[in-house]
Amino acid sequence: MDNKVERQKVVAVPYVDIYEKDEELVLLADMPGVDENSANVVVENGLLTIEGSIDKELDDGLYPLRSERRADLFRRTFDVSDAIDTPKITAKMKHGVLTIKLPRREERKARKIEISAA
Amino acid sequence: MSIRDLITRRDRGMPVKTGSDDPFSEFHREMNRLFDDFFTDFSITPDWGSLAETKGSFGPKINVSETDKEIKVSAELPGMDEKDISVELEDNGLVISGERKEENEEKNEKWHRVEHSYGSFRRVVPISANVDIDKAKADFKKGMLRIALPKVKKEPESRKKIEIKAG
Repeated sequence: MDNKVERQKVVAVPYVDIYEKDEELVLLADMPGVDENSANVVVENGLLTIEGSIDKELDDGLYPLRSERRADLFRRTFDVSDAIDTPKITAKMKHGVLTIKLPRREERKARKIEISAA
Repeated sequence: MSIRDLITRRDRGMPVKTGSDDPFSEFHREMNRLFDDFFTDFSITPDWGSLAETKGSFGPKINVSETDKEIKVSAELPGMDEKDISVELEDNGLVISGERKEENEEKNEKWHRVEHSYGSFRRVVPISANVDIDKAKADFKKGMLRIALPKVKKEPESRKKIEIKAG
């Protein structure tokens, strides 16, 4: 590598909303500047990590007047409860918002049990 | 007089929901804002307005940069649609406003964490150069609004020398 001094990447923590429905947990993460190709969602050892590199090409070569967005990437990690069916987690990306659906395991869903007459 | 005093505020209604019920994440966010403001304002640039322009609303994060030919503004507007965003050039600057609607209207949910801001937002970006509004371009992709304002060469406003009287 010619470039010995590599600039440390600036990491931003994405803001998230998390809500629970009967059958699943839904996590919404704001990652403006990230699309489905530059985002990564990994579940490992009970941890969910979301990551996305921010496309900055259009900001290059210009004299900056104001920089409130300086991050190179977004990253955040969450604990995943064992009530979540990890292989069934799905993710989608739209308008810079990552939506992750974490379904509850079948056996953990609330279930109404029929009572039969004796 | 700061540039902000020159800008008239318009009230665009109250947001649906701001911040969070969790005081700690609100505190965390406020601290981040303070640090951001502190470290970005070490310059002789005009007052760009805080991130929360109007009370009860939120301001998107912006980057502003320029070349000889144009001024570029980018703003983070995740979760919004181009039809929810308005960009106007007023006398004192570029006004980015709109509304972030809550995606979810379902009844049976239990919220665990709300860090997003929903509702109306407004941000004024002071523009010091003369720009050609007819050639201005804006596009919205991946939750990022990018605006390019080409500069125009204009004769300086008629200059007037002020006489200084001897006392």
